Amino acid sequence: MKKTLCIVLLVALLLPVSLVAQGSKESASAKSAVEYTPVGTFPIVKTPITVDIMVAQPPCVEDFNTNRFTKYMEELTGIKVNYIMIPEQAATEKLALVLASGDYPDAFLGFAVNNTLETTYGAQEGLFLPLNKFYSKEWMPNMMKAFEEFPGGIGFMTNIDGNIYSLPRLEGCYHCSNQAKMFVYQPFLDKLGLKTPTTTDEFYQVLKAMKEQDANGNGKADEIPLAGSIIGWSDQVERFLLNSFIYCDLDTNINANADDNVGYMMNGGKVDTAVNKAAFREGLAFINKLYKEGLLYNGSFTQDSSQLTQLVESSAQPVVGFVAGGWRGQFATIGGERFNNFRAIAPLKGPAGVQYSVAFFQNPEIGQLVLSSETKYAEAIMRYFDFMYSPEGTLLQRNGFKGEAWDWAKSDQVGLDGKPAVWQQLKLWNDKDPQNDTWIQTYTAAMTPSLKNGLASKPMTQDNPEYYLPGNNEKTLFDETTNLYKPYEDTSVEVPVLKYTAEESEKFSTVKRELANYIRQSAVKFMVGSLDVNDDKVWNEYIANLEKLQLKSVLDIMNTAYARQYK
Amino acid sequence: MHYKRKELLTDRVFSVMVNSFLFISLVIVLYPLLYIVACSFSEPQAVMAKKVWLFPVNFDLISYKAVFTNKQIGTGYMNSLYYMVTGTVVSVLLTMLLAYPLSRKEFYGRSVVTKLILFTMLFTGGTIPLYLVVRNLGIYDTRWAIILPNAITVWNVIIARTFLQENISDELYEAAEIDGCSDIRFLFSFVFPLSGAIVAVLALFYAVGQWNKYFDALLYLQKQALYPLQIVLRNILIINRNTPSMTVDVEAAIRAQGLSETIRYAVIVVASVPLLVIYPFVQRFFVKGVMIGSVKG
Repeated sequence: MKKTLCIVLLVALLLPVSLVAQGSKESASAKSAVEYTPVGTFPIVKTPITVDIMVAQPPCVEDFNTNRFTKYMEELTGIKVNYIMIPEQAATEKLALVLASGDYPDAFLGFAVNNTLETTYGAQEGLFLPLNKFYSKEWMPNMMKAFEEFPGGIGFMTNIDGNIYSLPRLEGCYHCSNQAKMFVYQPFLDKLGLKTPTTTDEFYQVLKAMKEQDANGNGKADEIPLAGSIIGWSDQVERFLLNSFIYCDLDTNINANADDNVGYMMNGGKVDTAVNKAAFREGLAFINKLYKEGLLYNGSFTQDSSQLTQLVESSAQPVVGFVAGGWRGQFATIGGERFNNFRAIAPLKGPAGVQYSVAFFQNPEIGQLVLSSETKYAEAIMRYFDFMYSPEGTLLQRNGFKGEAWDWAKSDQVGLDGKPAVWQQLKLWNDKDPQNDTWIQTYTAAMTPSLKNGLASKPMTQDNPEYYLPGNNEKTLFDETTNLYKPYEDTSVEVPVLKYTAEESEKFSTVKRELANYIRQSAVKFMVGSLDVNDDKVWNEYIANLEKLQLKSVLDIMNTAYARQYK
Repeated sequence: MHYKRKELLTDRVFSVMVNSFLFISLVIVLYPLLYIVACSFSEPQAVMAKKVWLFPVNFDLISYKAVFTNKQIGTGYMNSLYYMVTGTVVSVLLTMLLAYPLSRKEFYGRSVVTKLILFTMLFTGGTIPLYLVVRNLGIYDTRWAIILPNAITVWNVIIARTFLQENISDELYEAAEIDGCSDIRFLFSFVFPLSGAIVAVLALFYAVGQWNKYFDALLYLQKQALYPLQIVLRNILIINRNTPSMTVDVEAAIRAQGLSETIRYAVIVVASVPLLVIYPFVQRFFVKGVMIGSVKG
């Protein structure tokens, strides 16, 4: 009895294994010859072919197979793509499942495969096709041309094993490169007859004046001179303020990435950190002083950006003076009176003359298109997508059809950057309504700085009442970034993106996470005063703990990676 | 006399305290629900400005408009209803078919089967093996992929088995057996009619579980026509979130900034209504004593 049971169980165990083994054998079928036309001409293939591409579907595109841009591509290239759509939210899980099942499509589009996953699936398991050959003018002229505007971009795409496994999305967001901005509610300054502060001392005086002199004139001491939020796009006040003391990209949000925005910086050609320096301590002490005196809103280290918006918008009279944020929409109702009256201010000069604007590198977005190593249509797929990196392809894919959604600029039009415009927008770009004309989100496209800043805009000065309205937002942001933040940017102190071997990332991922958590928590504690920043004993204990959490080893490994990549 | 009056007073104090305690509990439970409903019917800007506390401010259906103008919402609703009804029937049937034999002492290998079932409570194969099973069974991207995997919950089997053990007596079975009743006949003519309460409980558990199912659909479905409501609602939330992407169309951006606040309330209401409607009908089974009078003596 027991014996039969054993055999039955064994058979039951083995059965699915043999089934799976059979399934994977079938997929490796014979390669058929595809006839190509010369590179740079359309259509790409002489006889139509069909390619399977799995795509992470964003909600703003209804159906990739019936999409008008897809149809356009099919007519242009002669390649019929069968898009297998999966919901965007499940992209990472789905990628793992599909790769485990052995039944691959030819390519994966929009899965945002990150560097670690590329190492795992590409370098280690060989499931992704290396694309090095295609990163050349012979194969992808349009993409290589776009890369010229992203110096170091190809190095960024290269995996630690020397191969490139994916095509990027290239988005040159100019104002995002200095996103740690601070805004002031201008009517408060006007009412009190104050000038925009330029140093930390002046800043302190202005905050005090706002609080004590009834800036909104309602007879109540309800003013909140300075506010921010810990979750939200550069809504953190310390991101702006600390840079008047030392260059520091610290983001105190505990859920932020453990590799970036932890306060690492370049110091004399080596990777170093700001968080154990005396100047960093002074910066924390300054913020702590604002916090203690009630000048900095006490919810700033607990709330998110929608609560910050409520704080700015909920009162009958405006109460908030200064707010940190990536743009005004982060904390005010777009187009509202308060939105229209906030003005960006330049980084403040600190007591030691330090005045930085944090540099955020506009790196290519890796992993937008990866090819299965089993595909037999690599050349066709690469040439199909190369078209989308041309200015025309980018605009067709992102904005819509020429003559309907956009057109080339007229000779008298001026771009955001004041130079002759490249293109003009006929229909406003919008990713909030589902539609089926374009792909909206530029998975594989090149919105290069020259294209982005070449958008025709109405020439307007700041005296024009329409200048600060949301319709002119791109222009406002461009000017603010150029005039107020770019002059204080120093890209040589920001740590470039570093790549680690599988062994290094495995060994250090936990250490880095713990260290980052400790640094972020401690910084907040010092700022709100639950740790006394002015007490030498407390500070020395903090420094000692940083060492205990292996700060030195982390810096060493970063320096090793830096030397490997950039020397 | 004096003594009696005093007792009455304490009684009254006691009942006042109990009632006020219950009333406070009611307010604590009810207020968030009312708040959600009020927010969903309010103007987004009013919600953002924290003007809503109990009643809708500047009554506005824009959130519901955003939900119901989505092209997939209709199919999503129908799919979810289908998954809920079919899934519940399948699950309850399978659970009872498993629980009944386990409740009978004379069932050979009862403890082995129970242990095997319990094993699955502690250890699972993981996502990838399950995905492979679904694929190789040929139910990937079909409605069965939502209904069949995890159709039986071990916890529910144990509840049902315990219920059956305590309520279907051996005497009843013997009496039926003497009259020549088969096991199958006994199951359908006696066990099911006498287990209304547990079937109702199982049905409710499974129905709620199916209705909320979201991740299975993400993994095992590809055709949009098969998506349940939860995925559609999730897409509506995502498209209306306030991202730094900065839509150039200012009107759309303003709308989305406001909607990102209120639409989640509308989505909660839309997703909860069917369950709220069903609940009162099922609830009466919870309090009803079923077994009274089934066996005498």
